[in-house]
This record gives sequence, C-alpha cells and structure tokens, in this order.
Amino acid sequence: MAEVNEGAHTVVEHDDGSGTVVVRISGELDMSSAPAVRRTLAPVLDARPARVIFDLGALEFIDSSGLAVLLQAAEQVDDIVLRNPTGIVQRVVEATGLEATLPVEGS
Amino acid sequence: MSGAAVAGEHTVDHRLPSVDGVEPPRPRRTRRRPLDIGAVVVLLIGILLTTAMTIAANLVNDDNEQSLLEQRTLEASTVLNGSLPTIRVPLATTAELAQGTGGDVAAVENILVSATGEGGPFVGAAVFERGNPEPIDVIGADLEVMARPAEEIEAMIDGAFAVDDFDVIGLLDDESPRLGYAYASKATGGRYVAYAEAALPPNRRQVIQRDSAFADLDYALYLGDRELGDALVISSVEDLPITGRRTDTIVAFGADELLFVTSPREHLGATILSWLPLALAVAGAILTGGAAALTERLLRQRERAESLAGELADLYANQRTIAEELQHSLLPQQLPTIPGLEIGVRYVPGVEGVDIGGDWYDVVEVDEHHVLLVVGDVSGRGIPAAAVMASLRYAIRAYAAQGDTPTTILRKLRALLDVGRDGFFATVLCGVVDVRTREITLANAGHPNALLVGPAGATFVTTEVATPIGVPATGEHGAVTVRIPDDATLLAFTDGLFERRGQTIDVGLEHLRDAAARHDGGLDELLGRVVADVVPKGSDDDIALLGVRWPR
Repeated sequence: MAEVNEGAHTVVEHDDGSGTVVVRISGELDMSSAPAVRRTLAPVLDARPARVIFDLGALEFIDSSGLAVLLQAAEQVDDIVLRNPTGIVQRVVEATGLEATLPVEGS
Repeated sequence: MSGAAVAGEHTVDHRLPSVDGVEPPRPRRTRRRPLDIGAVVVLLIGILLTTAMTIAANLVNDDNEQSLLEQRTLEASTVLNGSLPTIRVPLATTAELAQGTGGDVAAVENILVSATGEGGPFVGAAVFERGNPEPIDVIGADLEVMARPAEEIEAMIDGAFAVDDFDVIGLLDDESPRLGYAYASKATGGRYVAYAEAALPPNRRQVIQRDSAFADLDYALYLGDRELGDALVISSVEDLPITGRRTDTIVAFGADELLFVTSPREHLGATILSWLPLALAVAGAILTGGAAALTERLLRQRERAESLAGELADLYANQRTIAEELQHSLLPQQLPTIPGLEIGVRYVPGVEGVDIGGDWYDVVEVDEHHVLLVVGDVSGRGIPAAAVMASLRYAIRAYAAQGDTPTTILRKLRALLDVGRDGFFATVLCGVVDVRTREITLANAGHPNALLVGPAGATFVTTEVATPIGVPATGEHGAVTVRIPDDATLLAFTDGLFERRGQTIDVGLEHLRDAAARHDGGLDELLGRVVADVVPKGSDDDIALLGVRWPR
C-alpha cells in the first residue's frame, strides 16, 4: 500500500503477527501533504496496532501540520516510536518539547 | 451570484478585419471564347478546393464555437467558484468564533459588520444558537427569514448542522428576492449558526457589462440542478429557458449546487457561409482574409485569457485581503499603553494560499506592575485553526485577569485542546513582566525560546519546554525568571521567523540571533530590520513577532 502525494510519500508495511506497523514517510510532511498522509494512516490506526514505528530516515522537512499527524497517531496508539529521524526532524521534535511523546527508537 | 457580472479592466476590440477594400476583378471586355480545358480543370479544382476548405472551415468554426463556449463556461464557473469564499469565510469565522467564545457577541460582531457593510457580500446577518429561533445578534438590514414561522427557522438551524459547508436556505420573498445562507459551527458539540442574506438584483436580471471578459455570454443561474423558473437566481436574458447553442454546468455552491446555463451572444458560423460567393471570385483574398480573421480571433481569445487571468489574480488578491482582514480582527486591535514598558509587534502573513494563519501575539495588563506577554502558534492554517487561536487567546486573557501565573495559565489551557480530537495543537510562550523588578517569568509549551538582544550580543532565554497545548503533558515543567537588562530587548516570535526547508532549525536560529545582534536603534526599527534580514521574500509561513524593552 503506497500513496504518492504532493510533498510526502507514505509506505505502510504490516509486520506479520507481532501487531507492529512500520510507516515510512519520506519527502516533506507539511500542510499541503499532511491531509493525504492522514488519510493513508486512518485505516492503519483504526485497526488499533500495538506499536507503530514511523520510519523517518528519508523525511527532509516537517512543519507543525506534519507534527499534528504524528501526534494524532500518538493519541490513538500507546506505543509510537520514530525510527532514524533526520537531524532536521529530530531538532523540531526536541524544540517542541515532544521527545517523550514521540521518542526515537532505541534511545 | 453577482460575481457573474465581473467588470473587466480590459476593453476588447470586437471588430473583424474589414474585407471591404478587396474588390472582385472586373471581367475584361474580350471576345467570348470557350475556356481552355486546362483552365476549367484548374478552376474546378480551385472551386472544389475552396468549397471543401470553406465547408471544412465552417465545420471547424462550428466545433470551435462549441468548445469555445464550453471553455468560456468553465472559466466563468471558476470565477463563480472563486467567489464562494467571500460567502463562506465570514460566516464560518463567525460561527467558529461564536463557538470558541461561547456566544460572545462582541467578539464576533466586527466580522459580520464588515461583511454587511458597503461592498460586503451581505445585506444583513445574524447569529443563532441551536434550539432558539430568536437570533442572539442581528446586524444590518431586516432579515427576510425572520418572517417565517419559528419552526421553520429552527429547522433551518438544525439543517445547517447536517451539512459540511454553508447551507443555502433558498430564495426568500418574491418582491425583493434574497438568498439566505447558514453556516453551523463544525466544532464538536457545536451550537452556533451564522446566517446571512444577500440581495439579488430586481427581476433577478443582471446584464453582463460590455467591457467585461464575459460580455459575449448570456447566462442563467438556477439553484439546484434543474431549470425551474422558481429556482432562477439570476440571468442576463428575459426569455427563459435559454435556447439554441448552450452548455449546462452544475457548480457546487456550499452544501447545494447551481445549474449554470450559458449561451454565446454572437454566432460566427453564419458569417463564414455568407462569404462563400466572394470566396469563389477571389479565393486567395478570402483565404487571406479568413486567415487574418482567424489570427485576429486567436489573438482576441488570448487577450481575453490574459484579461481573465488578471481578473482571477485580482480575485485571489481580494480573498487574500479578506483573510488578512479577518486575521487582523482576531489579533489585538490596539496594544495597551504600559507606563515604563515599550512594546512593539509585527505580523507578517505568509504568501502561500489565501488561508488565515494560526499565529498570534497578545499583551495583557494584569495590574499596575505586571504585564502578560503571549506569543502562540496553532498548527495548520485556515478558519478552524484561526478559531482555535481566538479561543486560546481569549482564554489566556480570562486566566490572566484572574491573576493566574504563566505556568497555571498553560496548565489550564491544556483542557481546551486535544490534537487527537481536534486535529490541532498549539505552541505558546507566556511571560509575566514585573515592571518594578525588570524581570520576566516565562512558561513554555513547545514554543521557540525568546531572544534577549543587548549591546554585547544576543542570547536565547532557555526555558523548561513542556509539550504543546493539545498534547498530553509529560513531566513537570516550571517557569523561568530572568532579568531584562536596562539596555536589552526581549524578542518573542513564532517559528516562521527561522524555520526554513532543507536546514535544521539551529541554522535558522543562529541566523536570527546574528541579525538581531547586528541592529540597534528604536524598537520598531529593530523589529523591521530583523524581519527584513531573516525572512526570505515569498516565505509561505506566517510570522508573529513581539519585542519589549525599557524606555531609554
């Protein structure tokens, strides 16, 4: 399952059995791309996965609308981690006081 | 929809190039003799060729006429569509603001006052609360809907909650026809409906002005998808329905739709047919004339397209102005004058789109010696974000009036917003200045830190950054108190001032710090220079910037 939007590319991979879903978001997650990413995520989150890993290794920009998408997911799913966020994204998360809400995997 | 009569800036020359100057060759006075077989063949071929070309040209023209009409209708529909925000934006903002302020009439009135004023889309407006057929506020002319029974008004209010966009109430009163619109707050548990009426021209007729880009179209606009006389909103002709060559287009109109029937005023196909005899006599001249006519026609179409593009640009600029005016009405109209404290602000709207931003600043005089400063930023843009912004701003003012500390204010705000439910969160930097001790006590919910600019350079004021408003708090975060030196300026701002694509925020923050340290002079001058230095032309994010210092 993949969806191409204006600025962000979202790929959702279901990990078999364990209830973990890996969501890879690349490109720019901003106000123009956030609605499409939110739509792609809706059925994934509605299925109440135990754990969602946001793989952000290729995400080059995130704004507050993009953060809102991740934060909405964090309210629906107890266990949310960011995998391999770029420095650009990591610094936005830190500066916004969200390290505990959107923790980085393995840290 | 008075927007159909868009007045054009450009005048278009409607004349075709004259062919009067071309005269058929005079027959020579020579002895009659049969035509050469070769000449007959050439003539026949010429006639055949010319006839075929004329017929083909006619067919092409006919086809062109239809596709041109469709194209023009599409352009007109775009303009029609583009006018929808002038209806939607004031109503939606009013409804959401009424919701956000719990029906505080004073907070919502200035939006409706400007929308019902001269040049505004409405003649009258009102705010209703669900379950009450009596409006809680009425602005402008008497509303025709009030002549209807209370049950009908209540049904209209309920109906507005059942649809996604503004609800078109339909045509009211036959004498001086009006269209009614109702927009219900989309917030969870929404209770308020903004209602407005727009006047239609007498007899529902409005002829498109000759110099308009759409002067070559006749049109009729019906509410709904059928061509019923009762549903006619406005048209340019008396004889309805429109017959002959026409196109029917359904255009979305709030929660309803409009049937848009158009017809060209001039038929050019017949003109080419009338040229046929002349074409046989002077085929070459006519072909040249035809080519010239075609060129002229293409040029004219291009001119029209350019003029239309200009009109669309004006329309967008107009919408942008409406958004900016609304934004302005949601920000403090005037800053309080505080003895012993100099305050300056800047609001820079982003260029992209026509939506309202969620950035704000506020200054609240708590008592004789204490002033609350606030800079905040609601994620996203648009009317819902602006409504969230307005409700947070008013809530902070209320908490400040109770004497709450910045930490308490932020804690109380957390009950008002939930990103999971509302889709928005907000970052807020909130500080109380003590004018006597020259100290500021800052609490921070996910917001960029303030910058303290002095003669020796600029430093960021480190705070304990809690999660933004709308996100559950993680851990305890207290306030930080710092002294603002006598020769320093404290700058608080939203992320649009330093956030750039393709670089970490640290690069932008460093750039901002360097720029702030470079400048001296008056507070207003400093704010202006910082914005000019760090904000690239065409930045797409809004910026709120607030500066304070002691009078020097």
